[in-house]
Amino acid sequence: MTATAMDELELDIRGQVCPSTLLTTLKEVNGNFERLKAGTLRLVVKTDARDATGTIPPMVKSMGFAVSVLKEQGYYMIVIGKEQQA
Amino acid sequence: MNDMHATAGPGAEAEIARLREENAHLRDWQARSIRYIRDKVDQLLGVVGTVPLRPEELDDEMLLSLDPIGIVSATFVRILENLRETNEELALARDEIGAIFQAAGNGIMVLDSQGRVLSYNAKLRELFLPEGVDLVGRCCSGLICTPEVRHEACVFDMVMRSGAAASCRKWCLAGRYFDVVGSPIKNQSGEIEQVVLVYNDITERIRSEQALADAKARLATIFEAVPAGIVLIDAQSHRIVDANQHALQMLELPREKVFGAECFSHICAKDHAGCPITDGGKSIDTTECTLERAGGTSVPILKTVAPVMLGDRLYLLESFLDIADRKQAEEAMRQALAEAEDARGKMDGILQSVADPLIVTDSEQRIILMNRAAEELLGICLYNSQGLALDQVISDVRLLEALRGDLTEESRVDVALPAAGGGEWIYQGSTSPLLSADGLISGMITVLRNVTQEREIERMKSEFVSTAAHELQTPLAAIIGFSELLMNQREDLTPELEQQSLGYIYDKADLLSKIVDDLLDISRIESGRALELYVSECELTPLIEQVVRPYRNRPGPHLFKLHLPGESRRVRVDRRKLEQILDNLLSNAYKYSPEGGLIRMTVQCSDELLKVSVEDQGIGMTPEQRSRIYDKFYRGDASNTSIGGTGLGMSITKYFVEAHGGRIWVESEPGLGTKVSFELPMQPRPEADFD
Repeated sequence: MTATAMDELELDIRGQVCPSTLLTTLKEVNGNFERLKAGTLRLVVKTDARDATGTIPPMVKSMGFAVSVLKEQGYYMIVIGKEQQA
Repeated sequence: MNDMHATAGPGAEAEIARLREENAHLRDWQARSIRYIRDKVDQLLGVVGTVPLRPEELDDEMLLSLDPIGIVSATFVRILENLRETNEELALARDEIGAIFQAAGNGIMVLDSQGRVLSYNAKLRELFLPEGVDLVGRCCSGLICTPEVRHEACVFDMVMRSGAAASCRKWCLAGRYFDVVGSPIKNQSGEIEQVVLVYNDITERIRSEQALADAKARLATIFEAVPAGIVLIDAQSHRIVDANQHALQMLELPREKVFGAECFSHICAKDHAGCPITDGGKSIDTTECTLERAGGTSVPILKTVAPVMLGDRLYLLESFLDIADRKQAEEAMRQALAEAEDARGKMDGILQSVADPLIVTDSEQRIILMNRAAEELLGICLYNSQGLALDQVISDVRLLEALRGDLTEESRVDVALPAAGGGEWIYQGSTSPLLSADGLISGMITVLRNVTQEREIERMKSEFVSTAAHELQTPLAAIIGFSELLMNQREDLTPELEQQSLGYIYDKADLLSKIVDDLLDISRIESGRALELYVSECELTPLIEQVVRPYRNRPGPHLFKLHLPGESRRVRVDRRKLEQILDNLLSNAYKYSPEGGLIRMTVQCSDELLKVSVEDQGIGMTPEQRSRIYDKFYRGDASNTSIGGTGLGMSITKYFVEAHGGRIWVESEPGLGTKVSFELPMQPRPEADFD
């Protein structure tokens, strides 16, 4: 796990399976909730557990964040950030 | 343990047993707690939709250190917090929508799938509902629209049939127009639960559109009907973008040839310097220029250019009128004006050349014209008196009456007006009606002719007739009397008396002959015929002696003296005329001299002149009488009938003297006497009209 100076926190949990991936991600979201909510931080989760793409996004959306899932080579990248105001 | 058992007593054994039991209990309790935690974690994970935790994936110790319940709880707290915020936002949005719903300018109505009204806003109530009527829970059909209208275009039905938004444009109800838009609200199953109908009142827009369409139609009609060419020109390119029919007719070109053409190719082609077109319509100008027709002819036009903004683009509206007729009319009018001016000049010339005062008045007796003579007579000038009533500028009552004569009749009247040098002049005012071109009387022309001299001559002629009759009658009476005497009593007369009677008859006949000669002479003079002089050389002294003899020998109270030159001279004269001159002068001297008065005749000769003067000591003459002594029929004292004479003698004398190239003059003072002198050239003047 590395945090870039560019207000982006990368959480590489490849190798984990559900529900660990979900719990690990939620723990990280809760720990950085204020910065994520303020829009000064973006959390990028890398996972190779396909099920995680079905559990993480709804939970994080329910917390009021914007989520996008990108299919990368051999893993998924779930980007969590502040929901853009309409 | 065994050591403890070996050394411990029975109490220790019990304690160990208790501890074992307690340990087992604790292990059991822990196992149950872990199981409980795992169950709850799995339950929570199930809620969030993921698989349960597997013990082999996360042992008990890692489970506790990871604290999944704490993670999920914290997550749920965040979710709940987010939901609360979302709810707050939704409530706010609902309030906003509610406010918008009520404040919307359009009528909005929400129906359920059965067509019953769920809600509607204030505008809808204002548009469709009578006071006190509530739609909620009722079907709108029949309450808003009539069955006929609903049958034709019920947007609710359209939405329900199509399952999608529908609209109806220009839906008309009770004279008002609406755009109606219906939108479905569907449930999760895609079934329509509600329909929102929005009524946009477009009546004013429709009316505005109609008014705009009418205005456009009117404008188009005017554009085409106006009897002037109108073209619309792009201000930048100067190209014609529109033209009315009249313009096309004037250009003799079809629409397609005119549209797109540069305006200067047809209008003001030869000279368009200063045209408002060239400065983009900054100036608005009306000028006369020419329009080039397709056939090659030019038409004079009056052109007006005005800028107009259509949309955001500047155009120039150029209108032009065919002024060929006007030009011709102007030329005709200019010629007419010139002719009128010429006629006026001629008339003015004629007016001014009329020597007699002439005044023209209108039907209201206001002065229109007068000539210079009239200005001088009346002491006014036309410039100041034109348009004024006669009584404003003329104070003489008789003249006013003459000028105000009946417009319908010609009349003549004599008016005595003060003369310039004192005294009076008599003017004969002749009035004639001034007729307009259509024969109506529009005023009066009055000519004032100075008839003072005519009236005087008439008076003198009248006197002359009386005098001449008397002059003829006296000798005739004597002739008749003596003739009767000779005829009836001749045998009774002595030879001397008979001779004396014949002498009387001769003298009186001679007197009559002289009177008749005078009349014939004056008649010749009056007729303007040249006086015939029969010049011959004659001896002066015998001639004078012959004339003087009757006067010298005449018995009477007068003294007569004759002064003759020392030696007789020969003169070239008309002997009879000279005798008549001398006789007239002597006759007058005798007639007007008192008893005992001296009459002196003096005759002087030089190489050039014969001068004769006849002087008396008679009643003399005033300056006025002296100035008129040569007037025909004038007698110095006409009132004294005892003094005979026709009043022609001095007039004839002057004429005879001047016919000889001589001159005559009079010196006289009232009561002192009169001296009449004349000079004749000794030799006839070359220019004298002698035979």
